This record gives sequence, C-alpha cells and structure tokens, in this order.
Amino acid sequence: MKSDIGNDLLSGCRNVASDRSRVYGFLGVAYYLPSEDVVGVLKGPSGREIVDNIREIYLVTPDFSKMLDELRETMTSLDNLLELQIEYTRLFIGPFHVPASPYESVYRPGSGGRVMGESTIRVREMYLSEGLDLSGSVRDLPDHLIAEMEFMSYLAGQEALAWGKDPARTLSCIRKQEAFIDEHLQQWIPKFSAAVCNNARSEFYRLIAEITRRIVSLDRDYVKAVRISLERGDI
Amino acid sequence: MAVILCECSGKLSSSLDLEGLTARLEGKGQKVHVEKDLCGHGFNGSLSGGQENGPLVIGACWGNFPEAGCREQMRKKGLDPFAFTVVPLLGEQSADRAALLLDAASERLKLFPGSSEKNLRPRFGNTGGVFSRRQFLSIPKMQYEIVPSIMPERCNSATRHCSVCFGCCPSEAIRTNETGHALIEKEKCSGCGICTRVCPSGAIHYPVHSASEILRQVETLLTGINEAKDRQRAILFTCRKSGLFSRDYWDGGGDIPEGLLPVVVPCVEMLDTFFFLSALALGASGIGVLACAGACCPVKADHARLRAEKYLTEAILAKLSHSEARISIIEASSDSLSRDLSSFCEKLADLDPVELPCEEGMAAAYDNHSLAELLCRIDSSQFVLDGCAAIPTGMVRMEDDSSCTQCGVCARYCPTGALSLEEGTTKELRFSYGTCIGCGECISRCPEKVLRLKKIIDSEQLSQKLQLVLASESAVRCSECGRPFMNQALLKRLRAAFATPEADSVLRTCAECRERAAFSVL
Repeated sequence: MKSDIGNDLLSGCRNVASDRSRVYGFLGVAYYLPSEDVVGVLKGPSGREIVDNIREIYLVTPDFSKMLDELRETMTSLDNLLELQIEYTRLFIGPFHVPASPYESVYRPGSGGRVMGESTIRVREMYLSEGLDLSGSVRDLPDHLIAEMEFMSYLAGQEALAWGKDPARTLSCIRKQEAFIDEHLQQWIPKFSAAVCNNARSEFYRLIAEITRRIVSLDRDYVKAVRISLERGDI
Repeated sequence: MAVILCECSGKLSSSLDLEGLTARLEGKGQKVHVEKDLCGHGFNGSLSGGQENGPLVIGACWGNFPEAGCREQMRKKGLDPFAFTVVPLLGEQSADRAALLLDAASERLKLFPGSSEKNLRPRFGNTGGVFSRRQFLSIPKMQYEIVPSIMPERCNSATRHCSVCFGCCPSEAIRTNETGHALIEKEKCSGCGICTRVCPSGAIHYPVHSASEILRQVETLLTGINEAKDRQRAILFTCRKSGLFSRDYWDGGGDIPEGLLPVVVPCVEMLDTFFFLSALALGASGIGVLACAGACCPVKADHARLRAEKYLTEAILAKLSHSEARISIIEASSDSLSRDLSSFCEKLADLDPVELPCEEGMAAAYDNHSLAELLCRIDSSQFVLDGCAAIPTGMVRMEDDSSCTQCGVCARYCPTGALSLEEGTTKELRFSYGTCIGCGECISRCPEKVLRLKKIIDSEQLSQKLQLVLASESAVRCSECGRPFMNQALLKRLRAAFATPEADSVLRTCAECRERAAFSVL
C-alpha cells in the first residue's frame, strides 16, 4: 500500500513534468513568426489540449480560467494569416521602433535597452552547461524568448525522463529550472508581457503574453515546491 | 452562498437536530443541503449536481475534513478553489448554536476577496492527516495554500526604509528585492500572519485571515441570530492545529462550553490588543486564547508576546474601570483542556457585562488594524497608560532642541511618517502622535542623540491627533547677503569640528557668497 502511494506520486510527478515541457514548448511556438505551420499547430487539437493541460497542472483562479477560455476561442479563429504576420512584425521585429522586443537583455538593467548584453552571455552558458547550443541555422541570439522557452521545455522533458530512475538527475534538472526562472525568466517576462499588452492590437498576442507571464510565475512556485519536497525527502 | 451539512453515518444527526438547524438557516436566507458521508468523500456528489455557484459553508463532522479534495472539485468546476469554509460541528448539541456558527462563518466568507496567484503557494503531498485509500485518490498530488502577500502600493519599505515586518517573521521569509521593495518568499512562509499584526501601513494582504474578515465573524457570532441575547457569549480564538477540533479530543470526553464560540485564526500569535478590544467592544463577555505549546507548529512561539498583549488589554480595561479578568490564555496541550474551558466560562458568568460604548463606523477601524484608531472610537473616560511592553503607540520628545541640526535623518527613516521635516518659510521637525508606532528607529538613527521615546497611550491626545513641533529653525543669516543659510545648532557643530580661524570666517557666509568671493580673487 505504501509503495503504491509512492509509485502513484512518482508517476504523477513524471506526468506533470512532461506536461510542463509541452506547455513551454507551446509557448515557444506561439512566439514564432506566424506561418501556415505555426497557425496550424495553434489552431489544431494540440493547442486546445495544452490549454487543458495548463488547467490540470496549475491551480487556476477563475479570472485566469476565463483568460484560457478566451485564448482557446481566439486560437480557433486565427484565420487572417497576413494580418497576424503584420502584427507580429510590428510588435517584435521592427523596422523602426520595436514596442516589445523579445530579447531578455533589452529589459535587464545595465544593458541600456540594447540586445547582446551580459545576460545574453549567461543564458548561453546555461545552455552550454546542458550540452546545448543554438544550431547554425538559427540566426538569432540565445536570449530570444523562443530559445528560453525551448530551454525550459527541454529541462522539464529531461526531468520527466529522470523521475523514478535517476534521483540525482531529477534534482539537478529541477534546480536548473528554478535557477533559470529566478535569474532570467522572472526578471524580464513581466516587463515584456506588460509591453505586449500595452501595444498589441491583436487579441491573440495580448492574451498569450499575459498567459506567459502568469505561467512563469505559477511555474516558479511549482518548481520551488518540488525542489523543497525532494530535498526534504517527501517524494 | 450555500450551506452544506454532513451526515457522516448519522454522527451529526445523532446529537443535533438537523431539521431544526436547516429551518433556522433557511430562515436566514441560506440555501441548505444535507449530504450523506460528506467528510468521507470530500463532496464529489453534491458539487457534481452543478447547482452551486457561489461560496460554500460546510458543516463538517470533525476538524480533519478533506479540504484538498474539496478544493480540487471546486477548481475543476471553474470556481474559486478557496471560496469555501469548513465549520467543525462535532459534538454540537444545540441547533441554535450550530446555526450561529455557520452563519458567522458565512458572513466571514462573504468578505473573502477571491484568491489570486500572488497569495497561492503549491505544496506537495502529505497534509498531515490520516486518510483512507478512497480519499487518497481524490486528493491531488499538488496542494495549494493561501499565504500573505505584500501590496507594493501601500508598503513603505522602499520609500521610508520601513523594515518592521522583517524581524517579526518566524520563518525569515520577508526580504527586500533589488529595488528595495519588501516581498514575502512564499516557499518559506508558514502562514502564521504575524506580519499582518506588525505592519504599520496595512500593506500585508492575507485573504481569508484579514482582520476585517476575522472581526466580521466575531461580530456575527456576538450579534447574529438573536434568540438568546441575554446569554453570555465569549470568543475563543484558536488555530486549526490546537486539537480542539480533533476526534481524539471529543472521543476523550472533551467539550466546548455553550457560551464559548470558537474563531479560527492561522496562529494565535497574530492576535493583539486590537483584536481583543474590538471583540470586547462588539459585545464579547470574555476572550479565551487557545495557545498551543508551540512544538507542533512552525512558529514555535513561547507566547511571551501574546502574554504582553493580554497584559496590555487588561491594563486598558482597568483604566476604563472594567473588571480585567476577561482574557485568558489557555494551554491547548493540557490534559484538563475541557475543564479549563468550562472553568473560564464559569468565571466569566460572575462578572458584570462589559460595556465599551462604541462610535458608529467601527468597521472602518478593522481595515487599518490600528489600536490608536479603535481607542478613539471607544468613547469613555480619558486615561493615560504607560509601562506596558506591548503599547503600540510612542511619544517622541526632543530633549535639547538647541542641539538638533534638523538633518532630517529621523524623518527619512520613520516607517510611518510620524516624524516629518517641513521645509516651508521656516524649517520644522514635526511629530504626530497616533501615527508613531514607537519602533525607536529615530532614536537609534539620530546623530545628535537628542530624541527620546516613551511608549504611552494618552487617549485624549490620541483622539485630538496631537501634533508637536519638535524643533523649528533658528536660522543663521549670511553676513554678506543676509539670507538664512544654516541653523544655529549645525553652525555650533561645525565650529566645534573645525576649530580654526579660517573655518570661522568661512562659516559666516553662505555657499553662494563664498563662491563669489573666491571668483573675485581671480
């Protein structure tokens, strides 16, 4: 009976980790330049599934729940691809003033609002510590929002693989996620999200930015709780 | 708002007239459902009906109600997972009293502002209770708890260097972030609520356990369903873990006396004179505080602070010529708990009723959690009280105003803004009594060591909102242009520091004239 409960908890943790990995992966996709493929993913069944996953993993308050419903509605009606691309370019790329730059270093103090700051280097160091780097085909900086989301997705995926098999690796994955959220995501996502919300004309980007902000803050609490229980030996 | 009553294998109905209770509650406009075996399954049944939309009050058979499972059900239905409250009714004999308890809990719940992510903290696994296999399946692996958070728009940590709450937190969960704003580290917080007691600006938001919510419940308990108004009613503050609601206590023949109405707070250490006096002013005949030994809880309090608060309340009652033996701190771990509770009630029965005539609008004082404001609203004879450690108001005096250089350090570090340096036509250091919390920050910061602090309650001056001018400018005028540029005390200090004839001549003119003189040489 005791071991039953133990196994139950382990598989529960494993499932949550893989769900979280998919949530971060999805958030990464949402910030790609919208193409037929990207919109296909958002509109498709996996987009809807992710919204349900978010409800399952985190304790969702009623206002957040309403926001998730709105996101699901908005995603199914993403029809005008060109309009979405124009909005994306206006918000995140330029050519002139960029209302909501998707690079971390822009929001960090000391960089003077420019890209390629000190935080950019530190983000890349974290990728390298996991044996990862940006592939040659990606002509972008390591602290782009998509890269950071995919890194979190990777770490959560690794955590899911390690649950129940390799406790040391599980703990190290969790600590890395905690450090990455504390030192990077939490430091700039709230500012980025506010910038998008204040400037977006498209409902989709406004919602996804607000949801990203909330998920980062919920996930921070979640990862900390798991880390504390693991260190205490509760799990 | 709806009330759900449990009927665990007839346990509640064997002692309690459930029909009578239902009728009483419905008379108050509540919707009531009676549910079989509610405590066992954490109400899978009644919520699946889909008829409930609002907050829920649950009358449960015992204290270890599976709240986590219930929360999960609420969440799955898209309801606020914390918008319910559990009232343990085990051993309840009187339908009147049960109705009163449920009604008061529902009034408290009405003030619940709704949960937000800022106040939620996830936690893994074991709730500490014993649960069955069936319950286990309905309990989510990850559970959530409500913790306090700091409202940055009210907090004075960044603007006034306030750090009152930092030292009071037993789990050292409060710190400042890189911009100097105070924040509570959720994962360390034990949820005791002591910070809400000490915060002078009411910046700590603790849904479910805010002063206004707790006192609303107290108020309803004392004034609600008025069938036995002349009966004495005393309030018993207790935390969930005190054992009062445990099965062991009841199985061992324990009991809660009829006139004693329990109010649950996260930890009794969060209570202070403000709560005690408010409850008495609302009509309580006495106040019991169930203090646990401290070993079981993360606060590990020795209750020295609580005793100091009790002493202060008694001192104030004595000044208002009321009998002071109204408050009792009762050991929760004692074997004779049941006897202690009933002997406390018997003692109260011999006392005259408390009468603290109170002004209208006392509810406004709840929000600020300010004893000073509460005392202003209790209109009775004037009194002066000092010599109690727990006195929350201080009086700052200037010992030697000729030595005050009006540097403004005291005003800058005053967490409540009770000291302020007004720079109008004359420069004045002002002090406002009633705003001062007597923290002593100004005393230790003052470079001239000329300030003195006394912890004192002077009700007349509190209600008059006494303002003092501690030092006003005695200006030194520039010998060249005649404009004031320094005050006498500062000049005296500087002369003493640079005791040379050159310095003496330099200190006679203002900075501008000195500059001009330097250029004229060129």
